[in-house]
Amino acid sequence: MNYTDFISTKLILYVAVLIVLLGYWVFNFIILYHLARFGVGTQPKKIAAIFFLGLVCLFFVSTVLFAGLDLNSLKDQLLDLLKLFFNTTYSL
Amino acid sequence: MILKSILNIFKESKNHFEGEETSEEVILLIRRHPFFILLRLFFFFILVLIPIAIGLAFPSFIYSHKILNLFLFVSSIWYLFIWSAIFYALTMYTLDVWIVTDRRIIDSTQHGFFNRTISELHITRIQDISVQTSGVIQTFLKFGDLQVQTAGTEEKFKFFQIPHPEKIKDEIMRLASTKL
Repeated sequence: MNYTDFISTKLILYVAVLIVLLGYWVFNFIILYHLARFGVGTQPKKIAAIFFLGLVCLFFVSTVLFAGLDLNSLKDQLLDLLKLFFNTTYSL
Repeated sequence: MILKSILNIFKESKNHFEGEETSEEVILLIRRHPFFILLRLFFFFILVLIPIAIGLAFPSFIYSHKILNLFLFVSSIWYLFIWSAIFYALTMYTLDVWIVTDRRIIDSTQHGFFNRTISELHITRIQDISVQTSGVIQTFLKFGDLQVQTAGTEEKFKFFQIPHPEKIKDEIMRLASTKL
């Protein structure tokens, strides 16, 4: 069995998305941690609450939109756009 | 009961801070003038408009190339990152604070994540306070810098771009005179 059989473009895409997501949530956790831990008074706690609620809503919307993407035609769409903008033929 | 105690954090959280002494009372909690954070938020507002502007300017292109779903997804990612960037700026603004208590003045400067400078000055060591308001914006919006001079050749204690510096100067002077 060749390793290229299971390392597909889709798998690479999923791993890349997971890494970006992990980094993004760590960054957001640090923001929340700073506001809750070092904030003086009620204002930082309110900001942290608004931030968290907005983040959950936006993340939900992004997840729904990601689920709506046709990953099989995504490659062709991206190639078409690259060809259109840069007038060059690419192969992925 | 748990929900009530959580909600109380947003209403009754006193101005406690790290390193607070027993029975120490916070008199003033000062942050930079909101003008500076509003200026940054305006920049983010322009960034928010970019996907909307693209959507309005090139609707036929988006429909003809059947990339509406892709465009909406990329826009949502754009907004996710802007949301985080806005609150990063707000975090840095909120944590950059000067605390005047009945015993001392604490300057807490946030330089980035996990990077803070905290310096303090006891009220009894205050010798002189000066206020500087320069420029049209500072004069109209009533903010400026405040410098607290301590004894000897020590460095001045500075409050930058704080709202109503004259009132804060009066309050600190009042505190200093009661401690003498």
